[in-house]
Amino acid sequence: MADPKPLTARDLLAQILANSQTTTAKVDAVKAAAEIKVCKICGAARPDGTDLRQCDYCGNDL
Amino acid sequence: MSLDSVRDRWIGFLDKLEGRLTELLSQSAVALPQMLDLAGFDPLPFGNAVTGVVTQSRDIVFRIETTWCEQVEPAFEQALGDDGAAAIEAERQRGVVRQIAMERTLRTAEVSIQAEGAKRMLAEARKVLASRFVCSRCNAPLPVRPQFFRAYHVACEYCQSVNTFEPGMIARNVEHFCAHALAEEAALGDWFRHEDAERADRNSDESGGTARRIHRVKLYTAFVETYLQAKIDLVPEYAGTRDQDRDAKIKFYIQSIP
Repeated sequence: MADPKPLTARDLLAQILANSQTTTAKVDAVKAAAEIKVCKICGAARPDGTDLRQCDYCGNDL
Repeated sequence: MSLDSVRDRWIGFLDKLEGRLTELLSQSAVALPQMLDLAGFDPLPFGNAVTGVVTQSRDIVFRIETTWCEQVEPAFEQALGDDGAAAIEAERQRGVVRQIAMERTLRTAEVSIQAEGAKRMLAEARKVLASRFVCSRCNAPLPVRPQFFRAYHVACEYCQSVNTFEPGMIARNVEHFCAHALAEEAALGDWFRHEDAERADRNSDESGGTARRIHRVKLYTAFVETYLQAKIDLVPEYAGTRDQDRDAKIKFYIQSIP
């Protein structure tokens, strides 16, 4: 019967962990943050309760 | 080789495989979730490692069948001669029973390792969302929802400006990574009950087939309901498509029954 234990479980696991780390592309993690969008024409912010697609002050498309 | 000797080697071989599987899975259960912490909660290396462990574990389980066909059955045939069909079938069944038990051990470990990773990720996401965020216009504290893992608009209570809140990669992964893993863990018992019924249906003759299939669908439905409810408990927004998701899964399942 075939030998069911060619590598120890520990060595096999170490090999799996090393493979998973070296073969995975590293991505830059996006951090949690809040940011505000302002009108590029007049610099006004977007007040709550207004149409967020257009500047409430000068009417420019945001 | 005598019958007793062949049988002893067969049982010893099965014990050895089971021991190796248990060892690999128990070590993985400790090491893999830690890997998630070390990778800054990036789920990709963790997911690849889980896939690696599952693949190697399946290889171990699969050896029962291949070794039976290539070596064990011929050895029993030689030891028993022409009248040993019933005894050989009993030995084959011994292997089948052990294989089913090992597959279940593997499935339980896979789901449990993924769920442990998900719990760590969820705890970290909650920690991130509990941090202090400020309005990027006036620096007043910004109230952020602790149980919402998507980007959304939040108005500053002080200057009324609308901020776009980005929850970051860790919180976003709660939906992509944690919801499924935790729901699978919650529904694992239902899944096994369904799997038993499916196996019984497959191994039976045609009589009573309709009743068995209705029973299978009933158990699969119970699994789907537990699974979806667990996802909704974590991400309440999923409640809106619960019936649609449930019906689609059950329809697909019924179509897959031969």
